Amino acid sequence: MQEFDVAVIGAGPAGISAAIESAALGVSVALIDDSPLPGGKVFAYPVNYLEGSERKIRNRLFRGMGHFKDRIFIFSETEVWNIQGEYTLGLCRKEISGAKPLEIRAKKIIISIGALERSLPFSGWTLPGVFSLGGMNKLAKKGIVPGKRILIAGSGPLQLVLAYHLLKAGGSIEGIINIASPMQMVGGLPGIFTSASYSLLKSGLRYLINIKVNRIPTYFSHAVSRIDGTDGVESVTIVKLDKCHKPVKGSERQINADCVGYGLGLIPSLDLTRLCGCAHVFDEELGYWRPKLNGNMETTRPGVFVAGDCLTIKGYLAAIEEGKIAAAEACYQLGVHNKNHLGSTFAASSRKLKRYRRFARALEALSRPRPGLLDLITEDTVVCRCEEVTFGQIRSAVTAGARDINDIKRRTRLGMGHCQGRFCGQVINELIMKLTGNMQKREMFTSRIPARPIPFGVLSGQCGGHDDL
Amino acid sequence: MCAKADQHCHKREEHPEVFTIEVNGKNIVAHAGQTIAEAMLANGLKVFRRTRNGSPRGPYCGMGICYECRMIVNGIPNVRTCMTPATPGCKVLTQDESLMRVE
Amino acid sequence: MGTKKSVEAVVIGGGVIGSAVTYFLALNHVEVILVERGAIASGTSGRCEGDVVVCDKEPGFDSQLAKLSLDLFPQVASQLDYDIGWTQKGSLLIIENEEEMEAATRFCGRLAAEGIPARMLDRKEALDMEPALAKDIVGGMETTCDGSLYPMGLAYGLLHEAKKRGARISTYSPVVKIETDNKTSIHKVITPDAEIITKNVVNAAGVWAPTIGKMVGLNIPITPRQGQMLVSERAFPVASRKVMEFGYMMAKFGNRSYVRNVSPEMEEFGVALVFEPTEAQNFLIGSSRRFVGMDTSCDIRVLRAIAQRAIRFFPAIKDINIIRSYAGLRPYTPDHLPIISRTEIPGFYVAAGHEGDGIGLSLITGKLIAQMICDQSLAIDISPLSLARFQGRKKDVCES
Repeated sequence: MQEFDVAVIGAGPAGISAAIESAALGVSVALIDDSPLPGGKVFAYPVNYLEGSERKIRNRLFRGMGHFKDRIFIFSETEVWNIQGEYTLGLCRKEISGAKPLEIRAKKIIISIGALERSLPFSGWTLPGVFSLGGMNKLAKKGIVPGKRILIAGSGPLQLVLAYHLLKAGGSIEGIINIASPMQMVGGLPGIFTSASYSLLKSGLRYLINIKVNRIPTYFSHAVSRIDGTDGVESVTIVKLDKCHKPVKGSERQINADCVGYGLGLIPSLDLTRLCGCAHVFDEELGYWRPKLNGNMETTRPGVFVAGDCLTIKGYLAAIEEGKIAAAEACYQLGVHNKNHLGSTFAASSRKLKRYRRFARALEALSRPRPGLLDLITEDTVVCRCEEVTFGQIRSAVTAGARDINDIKRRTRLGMGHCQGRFCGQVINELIMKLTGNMQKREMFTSRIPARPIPFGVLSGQCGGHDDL
Repeated sequence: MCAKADQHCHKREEHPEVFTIEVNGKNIVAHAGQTIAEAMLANGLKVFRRTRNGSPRGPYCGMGICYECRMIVNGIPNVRTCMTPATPGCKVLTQDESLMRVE
Repeated sequence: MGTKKSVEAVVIGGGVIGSAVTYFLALNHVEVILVERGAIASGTSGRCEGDVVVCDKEPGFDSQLAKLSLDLFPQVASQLDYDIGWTQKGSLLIIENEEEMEAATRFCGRLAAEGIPARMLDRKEALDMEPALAKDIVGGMETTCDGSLYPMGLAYGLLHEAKKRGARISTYSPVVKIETDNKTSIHKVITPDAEIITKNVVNAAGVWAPTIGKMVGLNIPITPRQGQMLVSERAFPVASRKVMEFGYMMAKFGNRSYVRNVSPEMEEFGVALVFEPTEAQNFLIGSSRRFVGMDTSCDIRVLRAIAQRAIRFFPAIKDINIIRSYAGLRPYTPDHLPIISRTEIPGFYVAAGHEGDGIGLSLITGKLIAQMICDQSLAIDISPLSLARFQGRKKDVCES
């Protein structure tokens, strides 16, 4: 079994930064990522797909990795599905001949698996042609426009990024609709302007000008209330929202679109911190679950660190700084450097981090849905995409006596499918509270091995298996 | 015990810049570096899967976590096409889960 | 103290056993309250497979009891206003070598003599029946009457019906104390919210039955025996019926000198193939048997051994994904038979200790307890199931 000082899981900006910092301090690093290319959601593209500061940062990160190539072992197209003891990692590597099992050992673990998009279900959101904003952005960045008349819905800065890339790829945008009110937007501006870096402001402005120049209709205080179609998006209904994001009756109108990008900001991806048994808290201010920290980026499980958006959503600049801190702390615990170095790394990064975090909070406030938006969920709305569990079925389960999320799961199969509750888990607590009228303790689904689906062949330790070829 | 950073980046075969893949018996054009999902969407194909209740599904998250874009690829079911590079001649079928029943 | 209630019977435990007892009591017009410390089917019943089988029962009393229970399922399933996923596709025991073939042939003959529809298959017949099986098996034994269902659905369905007939269900109500008046034989079942006065108490608390027993001074020799399971994704059908290996049964219950050709881990963790297709179009793979207290976490070594054993019999599943694993606690008794029994305390009954047979034996258990409480004649002589059979025994030692 290969042994490493540090295993970094997720080769986005936080992970690459943590790997470089660790390697610079002289330890061996396993850098594990499920994609063919390192870089994460922002940077995992050939360099000619990126522009401006993104390209510069990507090049800096890749140069760093290259510089320490003797100490950084990259495991690409590799998923971590189990972590046990202190610490053996169960890996599943995709190869041309099939999926292969692999076990490695590491003294410290840095989890930097980023974010996923927040979503609330509504009728028709499972139709082909409805994409998450990030999912569609990835296509657009590679020049693929998945529809003829695209509507961008939801909230958050990804809307602007997507519009920019779609237009660049020659796409036609029917409109951008955003749940936030114009007042909210204006109110959020000072926070954004005082905390954003020059480069972020510049790209933000570029995105906005782009929308203006192309005369894309923009609707604030609006949401998609339903999408209809047989084998794809045929018509989209949007609705006006009040201050609590409650849909205003009678304000529905049709938009002629055949493709919808939808998302409500980002939330941390917790698959691996949950698998490790780290404690999590529901952050009322941010509106999502996040790992609880015990020290410098260390979780409640000693030796397991987090960095980047899988802790809280702050974007790649902050992720890079958090990666450095996590690595410096992990290496300090390994005894490879002294307190002074740790202190100076911490001091250098934390000043920047403060600003980035302020920026992220300002943006988060604009993307976060309010409880009224739950009213869009109708009886026939599919809440659990994998097992096709509707809100009506959840209501029946609650009527029959179900009171907690695992009880709902046993009664309806909600959360029992391939995605392992990643999407329905975001909303099920709120739905139970809505149906019972009780504010009760929020819960997460119990974490189970494997953290990602893996072939029997991989679990058995033998070769074979063809997960994703 | 040091090794090259790219030691574990298993090399895929080099593909031509443009090639075809077979989707439900029809050839479509794919470009090197595209996933199967990207090649299909670039060709206007949106329905990737049907659930056991018959409802159509296509890619949603684009990053391998929603598992909506699963198809039968070279005979293997449940392959996430958004994570699987297109390779020349690969055979892709819509995954119809209503037909995957025990009779 | 909370509200005071008075009722004819209190059932403690909201798993399939408690649910079946409550159902049959309600059917017999007995006023009943079920109290459960958590949610319905949140213990062993929510962490098991949905077996209703006779193929793995010792011919004789054991198989008769199982058959009596099985025969209740088709009717109950059709009467419930709730889909419990009942199917009756039979089961297949697979045979790895000639020695097992000989033992299985004898076993099959004895089951058949009990009136159970069991028959031997040669290699070709077994492979025709389940083509995905490894080609090197020697044969099989088919039992056509065996069935399966969604275990949690069974509990919900039975209670749904019981409620319609007046039964009350009190979830998230752990029993904290039971007071018994020796003169009047009246029990007071106390939960944080209520005091329930009753003449009849049924301890259907499964692996927690000893804790409830202690409240009235009864020693109930039930030990948790952990089992781990793997859940597959929805994929092409692998097999259409339940498939298990005969060799494990042989080593466990029959010829103890028989040793299967398995890895040390499989031996240590009691790993044996159990394959069960589900109505949700995926399949469950087990099994393991270990004594690890109340631990319900999965151990990767056990899961790995289960996967290896499954691939040995179904090589094609190596390409199919596992999406989840879970572990449950079987309520084990030293002689592998459940306790369905009156006790030395008048009006206090035990319905627990079904080990891996709780789903299959649930209905007969419910029926028998209801018959006892209603003073009806019993469907079968249950002296082998009495709690008294363990009394006078020294501390019961668990075998592993």
